[in-house]
Amino acid sequence: MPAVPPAAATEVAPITVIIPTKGHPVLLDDAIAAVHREMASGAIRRLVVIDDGCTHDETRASIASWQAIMGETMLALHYPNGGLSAARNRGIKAALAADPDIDAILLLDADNTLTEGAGAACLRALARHPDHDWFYPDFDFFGQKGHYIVDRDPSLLFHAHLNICEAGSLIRRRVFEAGIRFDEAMKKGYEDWDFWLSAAAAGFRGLPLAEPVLLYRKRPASMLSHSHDLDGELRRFLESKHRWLFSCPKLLALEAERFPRYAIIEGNSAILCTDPDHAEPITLAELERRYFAHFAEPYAHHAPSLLIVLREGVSARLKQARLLRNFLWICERRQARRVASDLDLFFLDLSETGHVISNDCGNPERPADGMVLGLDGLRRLAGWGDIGWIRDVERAPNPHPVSSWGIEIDGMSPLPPQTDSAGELMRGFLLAMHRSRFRPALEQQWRWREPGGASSRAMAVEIPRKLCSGGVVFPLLKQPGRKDIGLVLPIFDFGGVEKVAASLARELAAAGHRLHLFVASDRPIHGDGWALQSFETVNWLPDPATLDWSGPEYMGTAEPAWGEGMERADLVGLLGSMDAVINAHSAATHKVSDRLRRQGVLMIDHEHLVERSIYGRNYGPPKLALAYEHAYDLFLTCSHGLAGWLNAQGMPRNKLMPVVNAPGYPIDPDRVRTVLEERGRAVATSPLRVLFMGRLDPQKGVARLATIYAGLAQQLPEIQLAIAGQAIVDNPVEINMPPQTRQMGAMRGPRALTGLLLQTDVMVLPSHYEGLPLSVLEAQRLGVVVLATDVGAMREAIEDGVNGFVIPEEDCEAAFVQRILALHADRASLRRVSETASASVRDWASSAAPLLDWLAGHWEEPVCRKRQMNAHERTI
Amino acid sequence: MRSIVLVQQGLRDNVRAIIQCDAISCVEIDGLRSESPLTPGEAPLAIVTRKPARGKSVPLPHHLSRLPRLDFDPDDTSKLAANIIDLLSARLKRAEEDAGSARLSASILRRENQSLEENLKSVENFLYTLGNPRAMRALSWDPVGRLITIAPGQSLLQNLPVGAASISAVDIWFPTAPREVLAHLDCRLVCASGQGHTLRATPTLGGIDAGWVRFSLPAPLQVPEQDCALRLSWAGKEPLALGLGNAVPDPAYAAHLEQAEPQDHVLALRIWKSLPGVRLPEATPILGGDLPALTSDAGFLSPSDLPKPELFATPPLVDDHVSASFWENEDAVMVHPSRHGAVCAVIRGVELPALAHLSALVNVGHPRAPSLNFSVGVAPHGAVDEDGYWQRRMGPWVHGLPPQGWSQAHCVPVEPIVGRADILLAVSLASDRANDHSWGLFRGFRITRRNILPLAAE
Repeated sequence: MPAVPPAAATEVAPITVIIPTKGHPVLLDDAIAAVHREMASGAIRRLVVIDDGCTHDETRASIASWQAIMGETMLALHYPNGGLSAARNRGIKAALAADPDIDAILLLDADNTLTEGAGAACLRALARHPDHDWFYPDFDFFGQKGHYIVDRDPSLLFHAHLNICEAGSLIRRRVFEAGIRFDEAMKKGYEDWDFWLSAAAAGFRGLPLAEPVLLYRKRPASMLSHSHDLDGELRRFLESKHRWLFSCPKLLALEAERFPRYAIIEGNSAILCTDPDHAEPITLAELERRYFAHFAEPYAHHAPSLLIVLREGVSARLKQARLLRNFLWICERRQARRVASDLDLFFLDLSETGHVISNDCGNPERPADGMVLGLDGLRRLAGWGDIGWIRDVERAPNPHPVSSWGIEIDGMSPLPPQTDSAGELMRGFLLAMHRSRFRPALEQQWRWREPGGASSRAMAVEIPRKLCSGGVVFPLLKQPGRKDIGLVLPIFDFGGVEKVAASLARELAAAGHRLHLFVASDRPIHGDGWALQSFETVNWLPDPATLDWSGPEYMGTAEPAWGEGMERADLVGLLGSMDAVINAHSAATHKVSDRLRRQGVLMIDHEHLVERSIYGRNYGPPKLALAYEHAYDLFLTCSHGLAGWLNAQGMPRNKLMPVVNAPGYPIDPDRVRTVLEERGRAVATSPLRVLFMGRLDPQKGVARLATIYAGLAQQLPEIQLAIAGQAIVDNPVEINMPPQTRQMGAMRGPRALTGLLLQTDVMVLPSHYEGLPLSVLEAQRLGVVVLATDVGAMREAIEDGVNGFVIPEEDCEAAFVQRILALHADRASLRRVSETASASVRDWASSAAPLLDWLAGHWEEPVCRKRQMNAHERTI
Repeated sequence: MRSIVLVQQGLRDNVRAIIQCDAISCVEIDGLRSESPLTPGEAPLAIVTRKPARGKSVPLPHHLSRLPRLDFDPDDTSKLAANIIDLLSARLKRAEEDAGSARLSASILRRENQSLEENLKSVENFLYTLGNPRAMRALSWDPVGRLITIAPGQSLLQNLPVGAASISAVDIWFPTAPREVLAHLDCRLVCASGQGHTLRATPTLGGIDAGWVRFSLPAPLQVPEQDCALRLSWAGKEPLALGLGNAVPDPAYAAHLEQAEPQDHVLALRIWKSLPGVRLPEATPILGGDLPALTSDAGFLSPSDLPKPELFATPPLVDDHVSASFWENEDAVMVHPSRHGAVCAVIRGVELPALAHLSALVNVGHPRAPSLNFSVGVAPHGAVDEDGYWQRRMGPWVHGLPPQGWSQAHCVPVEPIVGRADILLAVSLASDRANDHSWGLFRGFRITRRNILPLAAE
């Protein structure tokens, strides 16, 4: 440490000390005497004492006496009581006015004092670190004697968690010139914490003095103790005032920069990351060292909170399926919620029917593809030293208490054979830890200071969680200039809601946003080859209870009982990094919507369908949407009709935006043209081809369908009848259809659907209730003439007799038959309606345009504004 | 302090005429802005207003609001003069009282201070006569068989995880350096405040007792508790080797050699803290009283420098696992003892001319090992085979070393060693229990030779 000589007599001392005083008339003498003593070092030019309306005459007598001794080197100002912040601000104003050329101000409370050599130490700090803006002292106490840990390597993340700098700091003039002052409204404490955060927001950064400068008088009761009593209230104030810092994405970014959450060993390599797109490679030896450094001195060194060991190729497959972030989130959540044992096994398999998640795979007789160990578990194993336990880690079934889960990926390429299992890799790493030359370091203390209020670096992962009520935070870092939009669905089984979500996602992604799919249940995800392509990530909240519908009812519609314990918090953590969330019928998401909205997330609900019970009672998602009206910024509806219904039920009109459905799957316009040309060339005398396409549930009018098909078969034996679909919501029922009816089962994939519609002239949809079915729009796009009952928003898609036919519900079966017979007889009319239908169909770009406009006008002020980004970069 | 009288606008000349004293100034009230301070050194005495203005609010700064208020009566100026004199008298009285109070306070504090001093002296005297610990080994990093070398002109910095206050001495382990060479080593304790404190090599340990050399401060450090580091600067002509302790995961605590590649072991050292005037404990002398003068050459041998060990002696009824082998990855000789008694290994044919003293760095290698006893011995090459009686050549046993504990075992040759010698390594269990994981490791050997030059001259 090169010594900095004291300022020569001719040099002007660069520091002014400010002492605000109220209530310490005698102790003030010690503070002033210390300043008087340190003036000899040539560091301190002037002392400013602010009498903050002290009620003791003794204070003024003391000030007068010291004034007599110190003359012009002391400036005493007397004010009515304004509080500590006001007193400091008055002192700052007076100090700058008296000596506009000073370099820095040292704040000293009247009951504290300076160590011998403090002036010289301050000079050294100013000279050595010209780029730093304030210097905070060590926590060295007298009265109640003690030395607390000081953050020698400050980070904004931990400063958001606790105040690492006390007010008695040395602050450069430039901080005050930037207008940073103490908040005079904060009279209950933490005003110094607020000051440092304001300075950090303006791009300034602090550094520990790291040598004895200040001695705090620590008493059993102090203003700070009072502040701790009011901790919750004061923290909420700070969080509200410093939104630039206290936001989930900002804290996550700070965490990711210096405190990566996951250590992932895969095959022979390892990485550290929070967001897997921003990973840093690390050698196994260095990883071992980092863990031991943390175990030896957790207050100074960080280690990833989760050790994840993967068979080679696992992460690539998860990434390809867009499931990698969700995998990490679930691994972390299982540890945080203690769903997992010390060892949590993971199995990755191939699926041929969509992505599948299993919350418990037991302890099978096959090696695991992943193995997860939390920091506490690793610490126990590292210190425990039972090598036999470690050697058994690779056995299958695993002989230790384990938990497990698994994912099956649709169409996944097989994992390479002969690669080491996760157990073998974990065994290797644990043996290295066990034999580490750093083990002896765990047997001694590496600090002489007491922890005090310091936080272990292991806390890093928990700091962003605090903004999400403690929920595990989704590991997604922001991309400059792009907004993250989450679409939440209760299931993704490729029904109409799913198709709409996928189509909407496609349009939003095309506008430059990042889209994320969240399925709030443990049900499989069926992508159908295209529906997941617009999503950057695909995620489960794999809680079965999200669909149990056993919770309280609102206007006859039940909620799920889900939401106990930390379940809601975790969903907040999962969605907290989104800029906007579109909830398409997830009742679980309703329960956190208000929390997310208050956190700055734009909350949008998307409603599709009012369901009808067999007794004709309305129920379903729109009823729950009404219950949570206050928690959303906007409600999208699939039709104008549904928007009107919601308005009639009490939803404010300006919160409603119809995003009218368009055909559900994408198709190349050239292909549409070809299909329509083929249809035009079709022989006018060939038998009419009739199709029912949809779920074979009572809602869709399957009983009516049977009657219609029977009538058609009777009157027009050569007619071609087809049914594409299967029962989904209700149990399948036996339906008698005419023998010539082709039962094709569920048709999946754009190619199959297009092929089916190309072979269809007329589609019938005799539903009891509907929203605005996508199948109608898809059929119209390809020139199929649709006959549907007059339910839901059918008339928004079909203009009767122009581009299709809307048939009144009452006794509709006969009307269906008659209309089809008429079209059979009048092919010119059929062709005319077909052409009009294909010409009239809308597209998703125009449907989504109002939503995009609305979003553009409602994005919150960017969390990391330019100035604060600079602050962030400088602080790191 | 200069007294001033604040006067209502227009009264200054009248009041001055009454006071007729240059030591008291008159300042008109309108000349005072509401929050401006008085000039340093000015003490307000009173405010004088015209009689009719009495009772009216005269705006004054907060701290002047309680000033005495006097009336100016042009018909009775003597009354104002008398009032001012009264105030001055009162101020004088207060000042005298304050001075008296200050004297009283100083007296009280002096008395308290004196009392404290006396009490402290009594406590000190009492402590010095007590048998209670007055010194503590605040830090102990044993050598583990690895070395670091400081080149001439180079410095080494070792941060210490202990506070600086009360440090009185530092022991450093030198595998090879003779004591006189250490005169060129500058050993300094550097505090966080930047202050350096020079430590001097203390002759008590003399650089011969198993390689430890004590560097002491004139008195324990009386500084505020703070971080500190040890800085060693070498001004000798040949490179100087120092022993290293265990590896540390935190690079901040690894011994840092200037302008050299970082490494991750701490310096082998012991930090002593004590009360002033306390004599620190010393290691038990192992060698004869005249030996230091005869010793001038020391060296260090790693197990990898030596021939492979052989199992030499086992207890007669041994029925459990015993072995002796060289562990290449650890660079250590492992001797696995029996539950039934000590096991002895031998390293044959080591050139140890003029051997004066042999010490071995020993370590219990397994975290779940039982506590072990260690001993090291030496015999002229082949001699031990002739009589088979190896125990008499062993040095004192190191007893009850716990799992992963470190220590040193010493021996002085029973017979003169003039050329090749056999080194004997013995390990036994400290208690009667199963010998699982009883890894008795010998990590290195410090060799001290007699100064043979005088013999050669003879």
